[in-house]
Amino acid sequence: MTNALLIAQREYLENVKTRGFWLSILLMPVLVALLTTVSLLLSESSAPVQYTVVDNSSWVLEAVQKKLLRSDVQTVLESSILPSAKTEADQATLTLLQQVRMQTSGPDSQKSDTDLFVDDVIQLLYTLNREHASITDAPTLLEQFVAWWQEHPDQVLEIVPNASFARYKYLELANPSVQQLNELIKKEQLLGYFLIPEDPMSSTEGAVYVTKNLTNRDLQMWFAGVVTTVVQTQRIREESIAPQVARWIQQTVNFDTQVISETGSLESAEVGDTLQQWVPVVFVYLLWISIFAITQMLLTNTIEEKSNKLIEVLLSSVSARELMAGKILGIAATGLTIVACWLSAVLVLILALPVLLGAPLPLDLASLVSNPFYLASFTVYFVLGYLFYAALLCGVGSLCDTLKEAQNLIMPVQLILFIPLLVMIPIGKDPNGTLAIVMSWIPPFTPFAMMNRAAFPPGPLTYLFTTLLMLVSIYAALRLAGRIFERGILMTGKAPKLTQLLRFIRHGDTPHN
Amino acid sequence: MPDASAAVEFSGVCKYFDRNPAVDNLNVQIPTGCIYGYLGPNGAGKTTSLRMMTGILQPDAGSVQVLGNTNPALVKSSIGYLPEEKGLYKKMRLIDLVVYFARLKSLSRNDARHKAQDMLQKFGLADRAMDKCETLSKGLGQKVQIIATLIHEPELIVLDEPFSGLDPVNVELVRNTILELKEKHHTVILSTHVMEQAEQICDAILLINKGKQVLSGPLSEIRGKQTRNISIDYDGDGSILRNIPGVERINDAGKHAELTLMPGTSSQDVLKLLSDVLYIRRFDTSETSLHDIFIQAIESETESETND
Repeated sequence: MTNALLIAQREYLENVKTRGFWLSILLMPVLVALLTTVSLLLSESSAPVQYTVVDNSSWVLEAVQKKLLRSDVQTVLESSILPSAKTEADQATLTLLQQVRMQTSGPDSQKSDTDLFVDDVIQLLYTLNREHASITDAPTLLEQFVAWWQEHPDQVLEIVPNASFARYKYLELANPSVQQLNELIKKEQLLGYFLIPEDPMSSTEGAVYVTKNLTNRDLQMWFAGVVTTVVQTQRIREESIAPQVARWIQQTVNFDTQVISETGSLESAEVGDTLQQWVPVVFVYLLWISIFAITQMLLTNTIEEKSNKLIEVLLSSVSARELMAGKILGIAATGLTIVACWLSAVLVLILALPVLLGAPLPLDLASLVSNPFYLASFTVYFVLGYLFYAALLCGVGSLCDTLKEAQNLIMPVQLILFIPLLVMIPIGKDPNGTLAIVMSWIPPFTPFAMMNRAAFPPGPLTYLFTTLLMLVSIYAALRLAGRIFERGILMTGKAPKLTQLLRFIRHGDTPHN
Repeated sequence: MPDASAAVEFSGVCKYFDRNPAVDNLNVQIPTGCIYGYLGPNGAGKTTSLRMMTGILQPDAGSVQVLGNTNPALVKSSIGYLPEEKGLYKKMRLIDLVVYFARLKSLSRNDARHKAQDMLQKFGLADRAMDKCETLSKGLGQKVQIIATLIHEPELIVLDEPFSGLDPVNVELVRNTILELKEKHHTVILSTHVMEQAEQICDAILLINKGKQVLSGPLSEIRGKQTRNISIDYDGDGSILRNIPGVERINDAGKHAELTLMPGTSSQDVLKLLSDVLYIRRFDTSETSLHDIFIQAIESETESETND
């Protein structure tokens, strides 16, 4: 065993000194950081899609635009967020917004005051927008607010990131012809346009959405929703139904999601709870990447060892099994170092983010990722899974002179290794279903399936017996691999066929030398 | 009965690959403290039997006893093996590599380091101790491998083609090292294709072909079994030559004769007898070289096989 440790130590030190090792440690966090930044930048810079409306009813478009404006203005007034003040001018804006909010929601204000203010803002904004005019001199608070709204859409977006104009932009055209509109769609200046019938109140027929893009239905669904509300409101008004009655009729039934806590009491589910239950899937993925990458490393390393012609010298000092054990241990230590670095990088990043952003994260990600049960499961199943697959790949690697030869022989192992990835989401959704239970008891899948189920852990007996099963399987795999390795490692020339392989596993025949 | 004084003893050893015999009923005794040549053509089974000797392979039949132990794997730390295929960990420093191999042979960390420094000094590599192995030439690399083979002062040293790739100066160095080992009563087994080297250095040899033993024993004995030729220039009555005992064949030209001696006949005795009866102007004796013995043995082996 001392020899195996010596070999492991050498493997580890040699791997740690390579550029590849440091690259693999750095690459993962760098990739994650890059992807996050790029996707954030892309989502921020993505221009809103343009649409237009041909309104034959002469009132729906106006109602829609006023409704959208109202919702945006109300959000700004009700939100606790203020735009960041970078200049003196911004400082003035902050004061203005605070004054407006004081006036509309202060202790003296009445509901009607707010409504009146909002009504006035909408009216003024709508008129200005239609006439493409702006306010030059703004003596009143109302005018100052409207002027700010027109001049600083970026600040509005800071407060209401999903304001109507952030995603969809209305393109105003003076009496466009159908041909003109279709041309704009072809040139991709418009995603689509809406035709509103003359009398949308009496008939649901005649409303048309024209586009060439059928995969992006967001715009259509959003606009149809707004128009429906507008028409419904108009119908309620025409039928002289009291607004309270109408609201009551239209009220939807919402189900509050609750989870049973560990103490047995019911608690409202928050986003964090949902994520908590999906975190094991992330760990399964990490487990898979680690095991896949590190066993590949072992395979390459075994084949390289054959090609550097040192095997015979080593075997004159240690047994083939000691050599195999040393390699498996050395690469395991290398792999664990890499994975530990990844995990620490993620933790540090999560802890550093609030400091960098200057604000707490909306979710307590740190506690999600550093859940000790998940971390312990991950470590245990990494070791178990790695040992199992390492045994198989080390055996195969010893038979081959080149990586290309090895590819054919390891194909079955790799195919098996892909299955846990395919069932990751189904098991995550139903962690104690038949699929999850069956997969937990098939040794090549046990580590992945059990990690997958960590959000709703099965009983301790399941843990005990699946781990025992895994240990027995690892022992069997190591013995089998040892037999192959003992003979394979000295072989040169063509890798043996499967039938030859089976023969020498059974009888100890050495295929050739 | 196994010989207790033998460093290595093979009794009826067989080893098969894919059901073909690589070593076939081999019986060898290698005495302790000698330099033993292991000769044979390519594919004769040399490497396979050396691997069995070093515990890398197990025989399929028969028994191998090494340093008094029937399981060579148990005495690995008393064996030093330099295989024919020689390699190094390219990224390791010389000193680390030598220390690593020494530690695999059960030396403590401190011992290994001290010995490694001494050996590198002796082989003229002390100033390169911190260099990476990849910077070494082939010859220097081989010196490092020899150091790694000898660092733990093994009782039994198995060298497979130790001279290949070395320049004359280093051949000399390695040869002297082998002779030193012999002086210290270590056993050296030397496998080589170069007969001249074996001839110069070996006390005894084994010649194997197709896994079977063809010849074995002390070099002097093997030579003694060979016929020997004498050529003489003389004055006197050439008919006397027929009366000289131990002569197998005579080719007499009156003033010059070629004599073939029977195996076991000493050329010195023949010279004495001849000088009593004739005036010898020139006396020339030629011993059959190991190279010729090798070729003859392999050829006669092949012939007898074809006759069978």
